[in-house]
Amino acid sequence: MSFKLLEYDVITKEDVMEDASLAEELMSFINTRWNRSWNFVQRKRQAFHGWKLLMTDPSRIYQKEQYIKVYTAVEQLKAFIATFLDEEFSVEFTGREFGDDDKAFKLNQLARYDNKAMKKTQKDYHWLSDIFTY
Amino acid sequence: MVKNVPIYEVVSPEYWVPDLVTDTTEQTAQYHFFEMVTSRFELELVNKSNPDTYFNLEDLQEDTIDDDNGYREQKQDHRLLSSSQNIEDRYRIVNCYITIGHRKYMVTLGNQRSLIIRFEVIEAETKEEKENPYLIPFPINVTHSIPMREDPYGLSLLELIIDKQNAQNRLMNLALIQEQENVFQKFIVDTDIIPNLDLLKAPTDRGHQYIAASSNKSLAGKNITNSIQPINDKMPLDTSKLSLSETIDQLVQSTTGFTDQNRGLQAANQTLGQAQIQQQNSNLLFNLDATMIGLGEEDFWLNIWYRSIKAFFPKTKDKLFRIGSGISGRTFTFNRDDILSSIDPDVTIISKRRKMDEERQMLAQMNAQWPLIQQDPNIPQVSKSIYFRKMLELQ
Repeated sequence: MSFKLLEYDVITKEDVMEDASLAEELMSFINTRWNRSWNFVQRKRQAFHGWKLLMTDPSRIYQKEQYIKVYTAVEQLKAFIATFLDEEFSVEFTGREFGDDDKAFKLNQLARYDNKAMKKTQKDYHWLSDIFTY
Repeated sequence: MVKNVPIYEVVSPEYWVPDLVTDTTEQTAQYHFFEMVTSRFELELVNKSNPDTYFNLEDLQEDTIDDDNGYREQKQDHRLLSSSQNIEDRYRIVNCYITIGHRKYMVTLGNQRSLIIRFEVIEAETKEEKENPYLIPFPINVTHSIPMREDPYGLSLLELIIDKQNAQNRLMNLALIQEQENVFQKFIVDTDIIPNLDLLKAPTDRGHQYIAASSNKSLAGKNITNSIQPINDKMPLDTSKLSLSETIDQLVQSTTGFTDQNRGLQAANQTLGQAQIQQQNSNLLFNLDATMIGLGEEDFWLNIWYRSIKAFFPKTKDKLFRIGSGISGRTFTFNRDDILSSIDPDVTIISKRRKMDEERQMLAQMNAQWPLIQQDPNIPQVSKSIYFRKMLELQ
C-alpha cells in the first residue's frame, strides 16, 4: 500500500478531484487487487457459462451429439424458489408493548406498500435464482 | 422529484469480482468489485436527481471490447453478438467498494479502470461505527446456497445437480436411439426373383400394385413366397435403463432433499405417516441451505433496510397509502409518531407463511401435551388456564 493514501483520516471527493497523484495511487491500489481476483473469476465465469448453455442454448440441438434435454435442473430451481418466495406479511407484537388490531392493520399495510414500492417480490425472485444458480 | 429513499439492486453474480481471502458468512471482505455495463443516459439520469454524483463524464470513453471481457463471451455464447460486432453506447464501469486504512469507500472507475468518475465515503450510522469506522459494513449482501470456506462463490444447487442432468440426458438419448431402431424393420430380399427394389419402396396409394418377378428356367424350383424375409434382430426395451434413470433421480433427491411430492408430482402410494416422516427427513437435509439463505436475508434487512430507515426516515415526514375496496378507497397517512411511543415498541414483521407454519406446529404440540397437563395435580390452575388460552389464541 502506498503511503499517501494512509496520510488522510478521511479522503473526500474534493481531494481526489484536485490531487492527480492521489487519484493515480488510488487507481493502482484498486488495480493490484483487481488483478489478484481476476484469474479466479475468469475460470469461474467460463464454468458458469457452460452450465447456463446446457440449460438455455437452443443451438445444442443441431450439433453432432443430438442430445435431448431433460430439465430436471430447472424443475429443482423452480421448486426451491417457490418454497422461499414470500409475498405476504404478518405483524406480530412481542415484548413490552402489545399492539391492537388497528395498529397491526396499519403496519401490515405499510409493509405491503413498501414491498410494492421497492418491487421486492421481483427482486427476491432474482435474488433466489442467483443463490441457487451460482 | 428527488427521491430520498435508496433504490436497491439485485446484481448478477457474473459481475462480481470478489476478495478471495474472505469468510463467506461474515462481512470480512476487504473489497468487492462489480463490473457493470451501463449507458451514458443512465449515468446522467443519476446526476439529474443527485447533482455531481458522477464527474469526469466528458472523458469517459465507449466500451472497446477486448479479449479479457467476460461480458462479450457471454453474449457470443448466447448468439447475441457476432465476433466483429461492437456494442454501441455501452460504457463498462467498475463499482469498487474498498477499504483504505480504517475507512470504507465507494469508487467508480471507467476507461479500463483508468479514470475515476465517482467517489463516495460510506457514512457511519450507529454509535459504534462512529467511534470505530472499520465496523461500517459495505452496502452489499452476498448470499450462498452452500457456502464454502475460502471460496467466495460457494456451491450452488445447479452445481450439485448438473452432472446428474447430463447423465439423464445421455441415457434418454440412448433409449430413444434404440427405440428408433426398433420402429423400422429390416428385410432380406432375393434379388434374383425381384431385381428392381425401387418397386418395393414405392407407395401403394394409387390402387393395386404389381411387382414383376422373373421366372427364368434356371430359377425353377424356387418358391416365390420366400423371396422376402424379415430379419428378426429386435432388441426388447431395456428395463435396466429405466431403473438406472430412477437411480439418477434418487441421486438428485438425495443431494437436494426434494422429492416428487415437493414438486407436486404424483409419488408412489404412501400413507400419511410415511409421507410426513419423509418430509421431516428432507427438511433435515436441506435445513443447512435454508439456514444459510436465512442468514443472508437477515443481514439484508438488518444492515441495509434498517440502516436506510434510520438514515432517511427523518427526511420523509409521512407516508400516504390507499386501501382499495369494491367501489371506492380510503387513504391513511402514517408518520413517525405512529412508530415512536412512550413505551418501547417491539414489533416484528415476518413472513405470513412462516408464521402460520410455526403456529400450526405449536398448536399440534400443545394439543398433544394438553391431556397430560390437565391431569397433573402439581401444576397450578392458573398455569392451566393460561395454557388453554394460548391454545385458543392459536386456533
